[in-house]
Amino acid sequence: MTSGARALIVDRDETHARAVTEVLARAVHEVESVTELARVPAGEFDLVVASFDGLGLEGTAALLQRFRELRSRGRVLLFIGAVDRGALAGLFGEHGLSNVLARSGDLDAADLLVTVQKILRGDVFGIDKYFPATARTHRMEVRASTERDGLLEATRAFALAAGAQGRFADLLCNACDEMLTNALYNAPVDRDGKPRYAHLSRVNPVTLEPTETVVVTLASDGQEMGISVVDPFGSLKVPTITQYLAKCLRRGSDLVDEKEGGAGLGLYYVFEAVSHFVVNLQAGARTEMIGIVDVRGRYKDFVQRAKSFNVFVTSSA
Amino acid sequence: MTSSTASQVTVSDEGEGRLVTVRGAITEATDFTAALSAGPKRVTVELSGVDRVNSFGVRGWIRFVKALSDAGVACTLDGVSVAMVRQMNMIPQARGGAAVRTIYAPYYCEQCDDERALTLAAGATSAPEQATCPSCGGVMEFDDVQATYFAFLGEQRAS
Ligand SMILES: [Zn+2]
Repeated sequence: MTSGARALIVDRDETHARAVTEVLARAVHEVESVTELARVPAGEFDLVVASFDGLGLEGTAALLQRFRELRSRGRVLLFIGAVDRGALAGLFGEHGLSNVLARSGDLDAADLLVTVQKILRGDVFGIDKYFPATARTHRMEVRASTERDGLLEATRAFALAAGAQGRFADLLCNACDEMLTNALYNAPVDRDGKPRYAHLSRVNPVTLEPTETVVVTLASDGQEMGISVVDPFGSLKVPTITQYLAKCLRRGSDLVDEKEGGAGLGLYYVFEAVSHFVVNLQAGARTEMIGIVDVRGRYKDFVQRAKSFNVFVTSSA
Repeated sequence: MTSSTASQVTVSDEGEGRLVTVRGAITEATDFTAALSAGPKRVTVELSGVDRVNSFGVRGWIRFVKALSDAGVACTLDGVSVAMVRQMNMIPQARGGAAVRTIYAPYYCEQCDDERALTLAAGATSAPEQATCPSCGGVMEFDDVQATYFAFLGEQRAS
């Protein structure tokens, strides 16, 4: 438990609010719960957990207006179920929302607890936080872009061996491909923080220094499959992530960046390939991208589920 | 799906028409140059062998479709694979101004755990919810969401 931490729940659905309260009570000192914004008590909170569906809001404008109010009270974690892409784009882009948990069916208590603990504490890195200790894992290291095909083969083999349908294995490979490209081409910076390879066409091979190994970890527990790619640069910025995602979710004519480099579309491809997209940032030290694919049920279930998205920033290792 | 970044683009001309066949993964390494040489008035792009597209491959693909459109060449996509359908739903510009003839739809058989793509009749804008499983003779079900899977057919934006 984080001593002294105070959390607020804003949710009109009292059953959901009770379930969230039970989880939060394991992580913070004090939990208050209200059913509407007009009843929010005074003061600031370490965390505000709000449920947009539970607030019974109508329309994107109202939703965005409410978000601004919540934002002034503390760090916001938002439960979002059925929400249109335009609304998400507004939340990510104009409001810099970086913590969303999908709301579908029963509350995923483990996922909520991990997310809350990561927001409140500095300990954010590691895909292991999202899987039980009994999960199968596979760790690989990479320094050269020429190793990418081998890693993709290994990722696909891991997913199939874990019993995933072919299309779920495809999703994990798609996420792996984009994360690796990001780690090898976009992430590397020189001592002044200037990008080293971002300007290069991706057909130009790159090799990182021996001290700059990128670590790929795969995990599976039969319910979910995950991939983590950690680079030793920490050059990605929160606004870069949220603004690129917003641009892609709007699906406008500027969606495809004609720049030779450019990380934007790759982040969108990862977001689309996974159920839960997590980015952990330690500026100047490392970036971890985690993609988790919910493989319960059929592919059509995956398509219909809401997605979770979290960005965590820490100053400590 | 191949996990590698390998792809193959083959071109064959007949009269005023050209058939371009794309196979494998469309990535940064995919080269459409040969398919863009001057000559044809109509181009059919056969896509049944495309099993993966990444964010760099889609840029090259969009440039290819746009170049055909800018040159006044009529472009028809045929045998659009499940992976290509997913692309065109994610990125509206990926279809560009191309016409679509046939597309594949994903099916899953719970009895024998078989999954495969079945080709739909030309011009189809939805998939039958069920089909006969070629492996076990049981019932396969369409494994996607009709409204979103076929959404790209209704979107026609300038690329
Ligand atoms: Zn069967």
